[in-house]
Amino acid sequence: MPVPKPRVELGDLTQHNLQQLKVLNQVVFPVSYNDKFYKDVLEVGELAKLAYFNDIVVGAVCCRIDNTDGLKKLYIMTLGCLGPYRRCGVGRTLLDHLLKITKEDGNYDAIFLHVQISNDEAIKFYEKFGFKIRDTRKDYYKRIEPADAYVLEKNLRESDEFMV
Amino acid sequence: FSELLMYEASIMAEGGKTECALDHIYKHRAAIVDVEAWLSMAGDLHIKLGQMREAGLIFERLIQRNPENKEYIGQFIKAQQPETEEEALGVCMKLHEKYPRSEAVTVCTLNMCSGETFRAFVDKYMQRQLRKGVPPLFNMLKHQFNDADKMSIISELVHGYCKSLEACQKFHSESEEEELPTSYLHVLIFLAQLFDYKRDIQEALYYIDKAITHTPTYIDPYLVKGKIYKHAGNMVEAVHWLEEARNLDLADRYLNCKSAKYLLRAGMRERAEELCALFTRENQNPVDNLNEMQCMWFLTESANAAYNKQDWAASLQKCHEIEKHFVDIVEDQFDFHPYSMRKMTLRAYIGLLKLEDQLRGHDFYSKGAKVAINTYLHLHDQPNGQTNGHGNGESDGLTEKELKKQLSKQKRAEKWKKKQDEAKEQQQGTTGGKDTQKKNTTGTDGEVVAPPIVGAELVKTETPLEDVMKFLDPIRTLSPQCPDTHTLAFEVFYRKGKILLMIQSIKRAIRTNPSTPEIPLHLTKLCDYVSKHPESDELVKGIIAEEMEGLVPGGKIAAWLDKYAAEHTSGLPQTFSVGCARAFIDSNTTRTHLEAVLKFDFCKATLPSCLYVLEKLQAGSLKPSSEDLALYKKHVHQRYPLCPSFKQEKDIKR
Repeated sequence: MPVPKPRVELGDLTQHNLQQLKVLNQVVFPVSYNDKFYKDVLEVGELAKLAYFNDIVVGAVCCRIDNTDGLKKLYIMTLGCLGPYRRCGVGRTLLDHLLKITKEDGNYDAIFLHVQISNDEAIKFYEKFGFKIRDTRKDYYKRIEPADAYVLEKNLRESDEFMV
Repeated sequence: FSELLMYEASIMAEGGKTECALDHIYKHRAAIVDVEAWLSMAGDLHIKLGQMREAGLIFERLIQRNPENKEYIGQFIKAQQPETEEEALGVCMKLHEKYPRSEAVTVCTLNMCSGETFRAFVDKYMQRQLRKGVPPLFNMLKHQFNDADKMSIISELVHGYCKSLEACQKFHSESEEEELPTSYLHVLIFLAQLFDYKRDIQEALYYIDKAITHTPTYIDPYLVKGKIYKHAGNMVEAVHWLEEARNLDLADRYLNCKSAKYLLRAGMRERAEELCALFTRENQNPVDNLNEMQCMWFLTESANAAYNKQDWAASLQKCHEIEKHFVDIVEDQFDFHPYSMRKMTLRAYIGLLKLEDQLRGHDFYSKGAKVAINTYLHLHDQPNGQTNGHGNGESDGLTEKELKKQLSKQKRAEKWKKKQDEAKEQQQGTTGGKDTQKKNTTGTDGEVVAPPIVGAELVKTETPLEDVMKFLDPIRTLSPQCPDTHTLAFEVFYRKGKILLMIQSIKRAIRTNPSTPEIPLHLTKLCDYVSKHPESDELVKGIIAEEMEGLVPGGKIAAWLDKYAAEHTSGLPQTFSVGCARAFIDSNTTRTHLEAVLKFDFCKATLPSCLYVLEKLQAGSLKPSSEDLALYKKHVHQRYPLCPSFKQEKDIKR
């Protein structure tokens, strides 16, 4: 009997399955998020999704729109997947979804996020999608070591000009 | 018309005129429109007449229509007339090849295989189901566990999968492809359920914790963990895990109901009601809504919860609600009579009538009835609302509160009805002249509202032993296979003093299950009663003497007890009961028997039996002192550390 192809599907976040997101984030990330985070994330619509692998929630992404210096950027707050299910296409599906949103909207200048400098796996993952390390924020994290974080950014504008 | 023909045929068949019936339906084949029913009846009749070839062909067609129907499969195999088990298995295998996805065929084949064929077959089957992640896999295979060999084969295979998956992500080291992480997850869950079935709590928890750590967002492992704790006797912990599961998906009504059920089992009635309110109609008391919807599980579980808290009023109320629902269902059949005459659904109507005759044999009824009978027995024994040694002494105050609650509920219900009536009247423009203040109000549509069932009123009954017969009679007739029916019946008849009925109950109990723990005590009480109350009527006296001789040869109850004890040395409740019986005969020996129970080897005792004995000890049987109780608890606690009932008072944290 052949192994069936893994089915990764995305689903909406609702107040009924919010707990799934909380459990996921608790397990996957070394930082904890407060109640306001979870309250806000219910309002962002397509910018927050749950990822299902064979109908089980294994990953999720939460973003918000960042408007600074006259530029509209998409900020990824969390994007993660349970340990046993990595390298199965879950992360890719989530990121593709975000890229699709930004393309359809047309007004985004860039997507960016913070990554702990020790997280090689994450850095390599984003570099595959065209993200580049722009900056380093010292002591970004309050309670974990190393406390520094890279700022990874993907420029969405055609021109190669770096926007500072 | 076609329906009438089928009806005629079914009457003939029931009357034993099989050939006539068969000819009849063949003759009218063209006119009969219900093809499936025609085929089904024809097939059955062929088999009855021994015409196997025709039957085989018919059932083949039927299986093609519906490969999941167990009856068709069973009849088909019969029609092949297999000589040996091998042939029967061969038939099953061929069916399986033709209909590989059919659950019913698979189950049939599993039942028939054994040994190596079983191993090969179940290996393939389990791999496929685990890969897909079918949650009821364990429940399906559970039935195979009656055979110890099959159980060990399945156990071996799954343990093998687990090790292999951990090492190289494949089910077997020789498998070709790697499995997805979900396969490992489901293997872990299956192993947890397997150990839970064997009641090996530590191992079960080990595996389920592994599953939860692997994928904490999957709901099933939490449910299984809750169940494990339920089996370990710790309902509070079980509730905690069910709540974890429920919170992961608040929109799931199944999780909500399961959580509410566990809460009721743990005795947290208010919280359970709050939970149910999330899914019941708005602006209505959730309990009333569930009652209206005839939600049986809620009523039986509530009745049990109330009984365990010694809230007699509430438990009686729930039991009477259950009784009322059954009365309603029985009355529904009257509605069908004119309907089926009009629509000619005669066969379905006959089926319904047969069902209604057996209605109170249903589990829901017997569960409710047992609680009711136990409650009435308590009311009879302690009519002033006195409670047992360890119970709370507030039951009197509670009944007052309950009474007030009932009255206010009644008033609320009446006010609501009044508002409805007034609104209707305004619409119809009639002048309000009706007196809607009475309990039995008549609405404008002519419906009569029955008086609400008030637990506090029921509890005040002067005749508990008469009231109880309403519940006892149906279960004696319709649930005779359950030994509890007969032990409860004995308790009632003992208090009523009906010797012949007592004898009948004991005999039936013995016939159903000779190891029923209450038997020694009941038999002893019976012997004692008979000797103290000689019957005057000669005929009855003769019958009693004869029966007693049959039960206890020579009237030597002590010898009977010895024999019974020797047969049941490894049973805790039986040993306890023998001890109680001997103490009944000679109360000076109570201490000895109590000590015998305390010295029992608890490794051989199951958790439910330990709880059963604990309950009886706390109620005062064998007159244990508080030190004795503490000692008993300590012994059992060593064996069953997770169950909070056996923790010493100071150790209880929750």
